[in-house]
Amino acid sequence: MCPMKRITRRNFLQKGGGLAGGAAIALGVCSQCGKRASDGEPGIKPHKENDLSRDLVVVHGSDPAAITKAAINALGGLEKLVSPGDVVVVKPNISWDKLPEYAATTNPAVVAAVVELAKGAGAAEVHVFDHTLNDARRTYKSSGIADAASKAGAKVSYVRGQNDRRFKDMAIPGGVVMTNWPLHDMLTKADVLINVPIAKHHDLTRLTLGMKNLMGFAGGERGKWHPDIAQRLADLNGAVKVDLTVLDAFRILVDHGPTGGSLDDVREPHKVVAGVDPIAVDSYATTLFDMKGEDIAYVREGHARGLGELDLAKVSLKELTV
Amino acid sequence: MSKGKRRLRTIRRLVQVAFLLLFLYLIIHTAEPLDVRIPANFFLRSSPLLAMTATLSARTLMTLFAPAVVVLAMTLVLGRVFCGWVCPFGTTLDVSDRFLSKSRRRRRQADEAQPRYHAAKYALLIVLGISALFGVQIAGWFDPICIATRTYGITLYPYLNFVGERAIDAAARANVSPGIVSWLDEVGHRYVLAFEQPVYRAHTVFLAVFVAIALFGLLERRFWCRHICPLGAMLDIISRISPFRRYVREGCTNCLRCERECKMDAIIGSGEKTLRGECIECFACDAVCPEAVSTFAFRRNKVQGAKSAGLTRRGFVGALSGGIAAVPVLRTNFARAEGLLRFVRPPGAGEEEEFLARCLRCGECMKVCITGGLQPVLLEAGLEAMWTPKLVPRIGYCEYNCTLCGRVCPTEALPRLNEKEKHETVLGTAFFDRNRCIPWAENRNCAVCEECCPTPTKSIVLRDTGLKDEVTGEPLRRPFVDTEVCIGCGLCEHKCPLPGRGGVMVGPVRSSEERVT
Repeated sequence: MCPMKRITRRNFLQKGGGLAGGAAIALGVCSQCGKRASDGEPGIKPHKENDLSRDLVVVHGSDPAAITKAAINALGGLEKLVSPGDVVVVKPNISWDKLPEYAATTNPAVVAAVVELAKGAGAAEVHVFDHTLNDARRTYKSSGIADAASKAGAKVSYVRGQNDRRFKDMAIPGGVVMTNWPLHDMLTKADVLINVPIAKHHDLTRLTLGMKNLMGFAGGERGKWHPDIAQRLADLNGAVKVDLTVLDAFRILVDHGPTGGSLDDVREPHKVVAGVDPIAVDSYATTLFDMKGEDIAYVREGHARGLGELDLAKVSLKELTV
Repeated sequence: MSKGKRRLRTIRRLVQVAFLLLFLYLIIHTAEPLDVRIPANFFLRSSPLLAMTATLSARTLMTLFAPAVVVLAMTLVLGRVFCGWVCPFGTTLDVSDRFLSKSRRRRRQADEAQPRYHAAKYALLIVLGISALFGVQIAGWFDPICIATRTYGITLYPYLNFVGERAIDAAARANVSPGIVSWLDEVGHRYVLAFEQPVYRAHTVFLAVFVAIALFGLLERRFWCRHICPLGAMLDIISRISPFRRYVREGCTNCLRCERECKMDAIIGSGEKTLRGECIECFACDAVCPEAVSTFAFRRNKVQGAKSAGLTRRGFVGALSGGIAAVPVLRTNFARAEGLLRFVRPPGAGEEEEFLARCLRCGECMKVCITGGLQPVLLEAGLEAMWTPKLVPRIGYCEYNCTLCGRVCPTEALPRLNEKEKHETVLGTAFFDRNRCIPWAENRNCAVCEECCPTPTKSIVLRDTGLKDEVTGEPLRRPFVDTEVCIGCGLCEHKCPLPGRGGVMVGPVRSSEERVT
């Protein structure tokens, strides 16, 4: 008799099969690791042709939803921008785990109003998301945005950290310090992009406004941007075509931003600033902090790159109170 | 062979699977937003071993361990059903034994002989109990629920998550419809996958521990439960009083099938005797009895009962001395001396001495940590502190409003904090390495740390230097720490854009005494 236990088919399959199956899965899985989808990558969406008014609209009032709707209507209504069946991205600031009254994140009523109008204009899908700095599960909830936006009909999705699979390496056309960067793939799929930032204090750049809000589309190590933040933001804003900016200044944070955390640092201008020119919107927003567009390096740089008008004297301004 | 009896074994298996699934469900949901109805740490709190050692070492009656009292009562009445029906680690070993154990041949020679080495677990129980009495809490290294928590929660779950995420990646690349990919993504993350890939340092150590224990299945089934498990030893001793026992009716033909089938090696005397305390009431013996005479009932039967050999006197004295000896060996530990810890503990850990006496090293806080920053300590704070949690900010910071770790800690080694208390809890203090920090070492503006600092008045402040940024020409501003405000959450260190070591780091509290919490 052979002293060794015979390998029967049965126990070979039983014991070997599990092993081989596991190995096959592991191989299959690992062969996918480290690959980057690059074939036929569509680029970032272009500007959408639209008939919106070129005015800069500022609406003042005590109801954030009402002033948002009034501002958009004053531009002609979202029907002038959104065609039936469009995919719309609404990009608020959801970065921080703070309640709305601390003015660290976009007012949820403003976001919901934009979503509602986009749905009303016939948008097939409205997407709301942000690459947050605090844990997204907390910020989406505490900001009130996930709740308000999904009630208004938006698809709210998390960005799972800087390595989320939806970040795809994309070319930054005309980039001065960045020629490419991992950006959210909704930028390639959307027809319309509406930027809904909040105006806040930010020590390094002095203020965070519409242009800086686009950082939420960027994956990768965004911290590396900071030494060249103005150039980087201008690069990003040159590539990512914002069709409409609706800046929330219902509450603003005037110190210890962009995080805040004390109501002493919150002011309530009760305003919404809207327009198709992102530089003009940001330039106007600086005046809420007793500054000028020229004081903010990235706004100045954006203007120099031809992204919009810095000088408010050259902008047709329409002010309303609701 | 009676079908009714077989059904009992089937029911037991279903119950085992149900408890294992419940355990895994709770492990998966030991995560933000922690909204499961059953407490996530329920299984840990039902271990009488942990209840006893934690109560002894912390010198506090641990009311959180109420479920353990239920287990004790159950054992008094029914015997070791916990081991046979409930213990998720026992069930895991039943599964691995199926693959590993060879024929179910008996290893003992003479029928009447006592199984050998069963007594080792009593010795371990004594060592753990005695050392706990002297404030050394190491039961968590050996408690099966702790082992299961570490094995599943911080070892196997990250592997599962990795495979799940790569599978979704593969589906995305295979150009299946985007609808299916996003459905996989959504459903996968809702029910099983982690928010982001969890990574625990030294997970391979925990894997090795688990594999080693499972591999003992090559020798005997339930080797761990028979010989080592200190919780099993505790329930064993208590179950000897239980009136619910196996007995064999007349008509036994001594066919020995039950003896061969018994995974605990608890049947002796040609099938007619049962070692009280070893039997875990799995009902395998009735299931296989061809005469249907092996059965269980509330009946005292002195003739058929047998006690498994306890510790010899020498073994008992040895275990006692071992337990006492463990105290100086483990407590001779620099980490107990104030100010010598190099790392930061989770929020509210308090005095190191008290923390070490309470912490079970179970890994719940690491599993639940919203950023994944809580990581097992290895030997960097002495053997005694092995597998206790520390915050590793480069991996994940302490989220300002988050209080999850205190909510899952079974011994309140990490206290339950409300949001306000959490904001006032100081973990450590940030400091700059001016040789690395970008504005200091490279004269470039940066300020990521200042930007994300969560305290309402920033703990990191930028000051004008009168210098210019060397590239942009903007005024150069450099960061400083306000040590009176800093709580040491580590967000600055986590987000520092430098590769490898951060230019800003969090170390133990470094400030005036009144700030030490």
